Amino acid sequence: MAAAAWGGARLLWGRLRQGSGTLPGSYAVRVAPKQYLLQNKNLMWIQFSLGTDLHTVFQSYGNMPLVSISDEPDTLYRRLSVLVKGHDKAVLDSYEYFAVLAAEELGLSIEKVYEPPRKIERMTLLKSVHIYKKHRVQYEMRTYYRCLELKHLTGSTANVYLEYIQRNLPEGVAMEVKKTKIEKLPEHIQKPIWDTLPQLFPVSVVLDKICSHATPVIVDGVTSEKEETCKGQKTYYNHQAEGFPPPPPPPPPEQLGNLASDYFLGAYPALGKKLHGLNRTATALGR
Amino acid sequence: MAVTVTSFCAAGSYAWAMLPRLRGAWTLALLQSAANSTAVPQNRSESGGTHWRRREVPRHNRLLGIPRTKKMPVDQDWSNVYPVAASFKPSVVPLPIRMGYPMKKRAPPSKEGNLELIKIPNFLHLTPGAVKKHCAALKNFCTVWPTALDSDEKCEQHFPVEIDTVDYVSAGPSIRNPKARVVTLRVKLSKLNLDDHAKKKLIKLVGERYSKDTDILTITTDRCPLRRQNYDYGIYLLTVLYHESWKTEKWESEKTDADMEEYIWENTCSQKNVLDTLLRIKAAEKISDVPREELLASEIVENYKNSVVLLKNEGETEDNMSKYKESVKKLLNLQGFQ
Repeated sequence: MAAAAWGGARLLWGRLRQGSGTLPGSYAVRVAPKQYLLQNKNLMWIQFSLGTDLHTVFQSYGNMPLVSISDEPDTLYRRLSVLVKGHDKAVLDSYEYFAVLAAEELGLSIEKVYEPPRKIERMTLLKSVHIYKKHRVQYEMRTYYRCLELKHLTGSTANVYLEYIQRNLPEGVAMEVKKTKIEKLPEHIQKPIWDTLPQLFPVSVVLDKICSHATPVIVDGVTSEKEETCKGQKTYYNHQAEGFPPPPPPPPPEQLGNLASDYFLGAYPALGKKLHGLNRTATALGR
Repeated sequence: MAVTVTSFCAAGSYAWAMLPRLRGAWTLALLQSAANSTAVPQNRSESGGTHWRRREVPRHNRLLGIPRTKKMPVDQDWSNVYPVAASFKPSVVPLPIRMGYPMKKRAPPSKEGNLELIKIPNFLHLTPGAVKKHCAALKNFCTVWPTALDSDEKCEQHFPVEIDTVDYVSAGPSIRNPKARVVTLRVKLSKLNLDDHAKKKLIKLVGERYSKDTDILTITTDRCPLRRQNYDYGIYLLTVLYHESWKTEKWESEKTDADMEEYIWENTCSQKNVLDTLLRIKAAEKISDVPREELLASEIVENYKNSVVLLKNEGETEDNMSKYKESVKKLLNLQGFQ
């Protein structure tokens, strides 16, 4: 096996020397799988010189599908604003050329490319460690900016473009990406829920009943002594790394009747407390 | 082939040890195939021994072999030379670049051993040809923007809520940036299902976050540690505001004139005064009692009402003042005056 690889590598080298830039795809796949090259230091030099051709060949190796399509709807970005900052204007010029070319090749619509004015931070420091107040040295730090605004991108396209741009960000350059996502109005804002509540109970009582089943969570992270909580105990902000606390189980249906949106009240149990801070009627009902 | 390889390695010369990159079996290929190389010549005598003759190349000489720049064909693929970001290599880049401050009566330093050229970031791996190749491969992962949403107005009509988030990319001890958790939610109140009372109540609840000129409500949240939490909180705030503004509390009936956002003419002293004046005019002219509703509905009073409302709501402008003047003249029958 080693001899075969060695012989193949020599042949490849011969081809390169003759000046053919491209290699037949099947040849590379048969001769030099990637792990082979890394183990065999003799062939490392050849791997480096083959470069992108070998990489594009490996994409088809094994016929693995690289693009997968899922059912969830793509997010829509009305505008993507990429601001790059650096100390060297020439580097930013080159990077702008690259980013604009990449956007054009991927078919994105560029709204505008402009150069915000540079900012110079200057400081005057003492030149000497001790005394010599009259002798100072001055430094300045120059930050140059470049802004590229794209419009009408889908989520997948934005992710692809941004990852490509960010992987090729030069040393000493920072980037800020401002994304403007557009969304539909949430379902629970379409209509006010007050009409759909059952008329038997006053609204405050219904909500407090819901409150008593819900996990007590105050979203603003401050326990307010003034507000009486549902169960008469202090409530604390629930830190979870995965995001907002999961909604509590929905209250039994016979109490709610035709409540318009279980999600709304279930996910935001603090709403009851926020709407009816000091509710004496609830306590009077003997909860 | 394998036999000669081992014999070369067994020679164990110091020069070979000093050049780790050249060690190994493939150096044989390099040397043998570089027919016109100026490297170490064949040091084998006719008798077949492998005795090294007088060294024709000085020791520690890394310039063995021809630099790659001299072996490059003109029609090569440059992305094979610089496939990824790499520092500037003078033996690989075939350009006669000079960089640096020149000494007296000298040109700027050449590219060989030039630290200035190595220090700066180069874009040799991102030539237009390479970028086109990359983008052709990346195109499969991109999706198309829906053609029905070609203008901003259509986007607003179908997707009224706008969420602003910022990502930060920079090098440093940490890749995290605490400013990245800020989320800004923007929505136009005209897109929400609000009646008159609800809209006014919402504007009062929200305060500075509403801008009258653009009719946009802006909610900025950064109180949660994660961006998704801040987004959820922003949506929650919007929901609460919407539903709260539809409710009418008992104390809202105590709203005074000072709380009103705009001037409403009905039941004001201005209306009373106008009616009073008109009635007195009619009485002076000895006309019988005209019902109040008729007076109110008459065009003169409508005119006057509009001009007063304009003045109070929009302030005093040339236009508004002249309208008020005309309406008062009509009211008091003073058409002759200037």
